[in-house]
Amino acid sequence: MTDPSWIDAALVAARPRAVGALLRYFRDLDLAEEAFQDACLKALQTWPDKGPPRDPAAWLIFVGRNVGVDGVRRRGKQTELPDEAALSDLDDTETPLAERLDNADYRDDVLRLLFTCCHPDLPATQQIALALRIVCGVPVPRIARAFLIGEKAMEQRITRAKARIATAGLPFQTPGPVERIERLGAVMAMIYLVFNEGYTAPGVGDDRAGLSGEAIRLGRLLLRLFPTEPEVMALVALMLLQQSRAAARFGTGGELILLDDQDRSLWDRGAIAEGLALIDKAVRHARPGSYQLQAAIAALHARAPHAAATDWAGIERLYTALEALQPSPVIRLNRAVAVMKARGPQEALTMIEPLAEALDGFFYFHGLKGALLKQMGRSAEARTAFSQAVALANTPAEAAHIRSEIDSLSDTAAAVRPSTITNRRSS
Amino acid sequence: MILGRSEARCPDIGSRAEAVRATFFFPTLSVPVMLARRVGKGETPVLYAVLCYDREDVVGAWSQEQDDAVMVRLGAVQEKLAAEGRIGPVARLLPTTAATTIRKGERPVIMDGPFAETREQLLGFYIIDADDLDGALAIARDLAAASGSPGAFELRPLRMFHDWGTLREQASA
Repeated sequence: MTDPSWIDAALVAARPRAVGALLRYFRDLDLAEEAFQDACLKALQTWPDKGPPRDPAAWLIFVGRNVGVDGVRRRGKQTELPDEAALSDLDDTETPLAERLDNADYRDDVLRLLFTCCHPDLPATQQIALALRIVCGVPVPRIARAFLIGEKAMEQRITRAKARIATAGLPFQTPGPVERIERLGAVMAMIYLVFNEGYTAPGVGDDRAGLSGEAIRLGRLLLRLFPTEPEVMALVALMLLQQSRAAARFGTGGELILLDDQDRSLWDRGAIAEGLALIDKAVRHARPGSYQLQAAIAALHARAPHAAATDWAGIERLYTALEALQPSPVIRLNRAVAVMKARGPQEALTMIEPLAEALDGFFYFHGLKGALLKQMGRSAEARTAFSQAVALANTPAEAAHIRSEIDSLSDTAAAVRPSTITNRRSS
Repeated sequence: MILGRSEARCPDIGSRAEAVRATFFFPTLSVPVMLARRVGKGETPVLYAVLCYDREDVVGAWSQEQDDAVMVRLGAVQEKLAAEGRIGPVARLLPTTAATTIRKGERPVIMDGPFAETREQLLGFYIIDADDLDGALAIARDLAAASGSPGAFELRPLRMFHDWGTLREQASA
């Protein structure tokens, strides 16, 4: 007798490898998914009594292939199956299949499946929806709730994405080393998109916030496939370190709580331990990259026992390195926050003023500008900047936070010496 | 996490999953108390490290609720053992992706993660206090140099630490 909960977890865990292999066989996303679903039904019928197979993924692939082929035949060969002889890597038969089902063999299947979801022709929202549906197996109604749209609309979005991929054609040849690294980069970006979709959600525990957990699971999957890639280690570290603060980021009324003001006893120590271990491992490879720099910044926050102990000079150095690696006004804006903390608001304001044009439509730019002006006692200008920020806020929580900043601006603030305010802010 | 799981049809976790977690019991500082008690009764202490293995990908696919349920039940067993003075520290390990391996030799070689094809089994366990990976590796290098045998040390960060021996001492005090 095999426990149903264990079977559930085994099916979820086997999904990327099984669907990836079935996609290679059928060369059609819908067929691969259907075949996997059918194999899961068979598993639920047989595993409870007979016990689980030694390798659940191999079992599901074998059964899925057979039921998939039957299905195609029943439909009168509407879809022409590829000629077996034409497929160099299709030498699977049951016994050898189970034998060779390790990560090295199936790495390209899973990577292809992930890469399919982040096809460059697809807009970000479709990439995320497709990855959640196909790789993670999240039911459509839950994805729809996470995106705050109707089930039908989400169904259509996923169907459109699949159609677009079918038209564009899937890359089935085994990738060369350079191509594999390119795919890896695209997949990492897609996983981080999924994470941020959940991380920016206004609260914990709801469907949308759950996306962060799915992204971390995808990241771990990728890391098991590429256990020695420092950038993959760092991506998982970055997500874990950010996610570790989830319980401290919102107040009881759903209001946003900034890093400085968070109750650090609410931070998830397990996630922090894993994140720090991974960034330590990544740095040892001496092959810096943008995820490593971002994770290293998150690690400096995680290592600080309280806000005042944060190594802002170290964070500024890391942002400088990040900006050198990929120059962007948004990274400069983040660097300015570190400069403000390390050396005061005047220098930070001088740094971000040239960004006004590039970041005019960006919430964080006006928010930071307002905060800097407020610290310098320039209340009227701060009020203008904050008002622009409110108009550009991405979530109600962000807007509420800026409004509370506006409320704390008083006309008397302008009369107080700037240095006093600066000192109070940074204490 | 609500997303990404098939609906859990049964809130209970079976015996299969109970053997799962890398939860193990190993003598450390509280062990002398454990030993003294057994020897005092004229018994011969026989200590075991219980190393639990399972599929990491499956365990990683558990929902938080499933995970918590297993931990609660394991905790009940541990408490019973602790009341009998039969349990040392308990540790849960982070995923193998967070592991580092140092292979001993004249020039120790450092590698990412444990590898499925390693032939050595886990034979012992140290808890060391190091600031970071470099510090831990320095200690491991010293251990490697002192051990004088072939093999490898795996450096795995801990997730939880319960000293049941200390708890028992407090309870009996």
